[in-house]
Amino acid sequence: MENKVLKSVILSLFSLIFITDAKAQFIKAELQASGLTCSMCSFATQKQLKTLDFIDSIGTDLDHTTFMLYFKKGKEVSLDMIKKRVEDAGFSVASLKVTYHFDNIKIENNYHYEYQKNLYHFMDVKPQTLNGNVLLKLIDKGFVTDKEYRKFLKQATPCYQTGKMPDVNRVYHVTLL
Amino acid sequence: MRYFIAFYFLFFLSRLNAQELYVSTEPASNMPSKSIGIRLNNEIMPPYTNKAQGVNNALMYRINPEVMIGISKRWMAHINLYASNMHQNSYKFEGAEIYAKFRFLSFDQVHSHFRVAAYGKASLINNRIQYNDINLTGDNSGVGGGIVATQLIHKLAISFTGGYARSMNNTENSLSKFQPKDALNYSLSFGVLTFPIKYTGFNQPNLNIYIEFLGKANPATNEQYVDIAPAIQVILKSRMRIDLGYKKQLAGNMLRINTQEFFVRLEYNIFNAY
Repeated sequence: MENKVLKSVILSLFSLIFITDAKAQFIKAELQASGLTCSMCSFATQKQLKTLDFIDSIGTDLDHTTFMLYFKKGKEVSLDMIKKRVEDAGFSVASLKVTYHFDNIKIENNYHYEYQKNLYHFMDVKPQTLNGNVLLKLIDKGFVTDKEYRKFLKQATPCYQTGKMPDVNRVYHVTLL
Repeated sequence: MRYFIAFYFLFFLSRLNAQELYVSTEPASNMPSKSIGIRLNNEIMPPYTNKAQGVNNALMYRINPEVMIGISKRWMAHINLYASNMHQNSYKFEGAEIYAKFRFLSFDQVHSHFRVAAYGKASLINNRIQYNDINLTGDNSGVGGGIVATQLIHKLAISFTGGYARSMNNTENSLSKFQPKDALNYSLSFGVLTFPIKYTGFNQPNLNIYIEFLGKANPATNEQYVDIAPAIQVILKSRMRIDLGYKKQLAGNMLRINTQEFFVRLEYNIFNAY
């Protein structure tokens, strides 16, 4: 009898985790690449991005060297790999704006949100509750221009420079748009 | 009127995008990592006579297949093979050259960048050594290296190359003691995109215009020259490239094979090739 109760508790807990996990996820990202103008360069960048297994499809705005990345459902998204692929093509990330689906999360400055073993550290935000699709801007080094990076560096905690904290893969720093 | 022309010229430039896929030189930027480019380069030299230097050459042609490899975001390499009738009446295989470039500085901004790279090259050639223009791309065995700096701004791409080349004995023919062994080379290149005015898709053809100034000096013999090299370039489907170029000596006193040349290049790029 006790076992049955335990089982149902475990099951309901699992389903709860499953439900939150299914709802809370990356939807898409708007990536602007820098250092390029030519269509051959954009094409090479798009080809590099296509090798990432969590990207479902890519839309392009060549005139602004901007790519809209649509993510596959349920796949782990690595924002660092997006940056690496742009750099492999020979260019840099000027900005990365990610649409994330939140499920009633209360945030404030320095709030750490955990998703897929990574922490997302909110900076320069007002206390508020995030619900539904929210646009986040990555502000880590290599995801913004050097000028923007230096601006955030003035108000940042040590993990902003290292991107590391004990027991997590990576700490990304984000702000709201 | 003069101001009007200057204003119009500035207005014209402000509507253009820069291009740095130079025809006669290499930019500081590299090809993407894991990409392979295949080129077929063709040099055509019209008949040329210089009585003072004792040069009397008929029409000459060199074919130069080239493979380019993007090794990483910082490293790339070229391998070239040469065949021509430039040093005898019939066509023959002349030798090979390898070239590597390392990009060590990169400041990127949206629609602009400043980059600096270092390059090195080595060639093994079997031709007779008849001229004082040390040319590791087909005429002379040797080694060379230098620095390339490229500034891309929305309107214009400007690139500077400064390098040194050391000529060595060709595989079947040796340098005489009168022939120079050291050459300094420099270039200043400009490139603009003229079409399309606005990018909308990868299949739009691109039309680029280049003008390059190519200089060389042999300090030992006090010979030098400066060439002007205009070119047009068509890019198809964002992966194919056709270059049509012309080169003519602006000034110089060097004993060289010719003072003008026509150039045709066909190029195909494979991204994520391996």
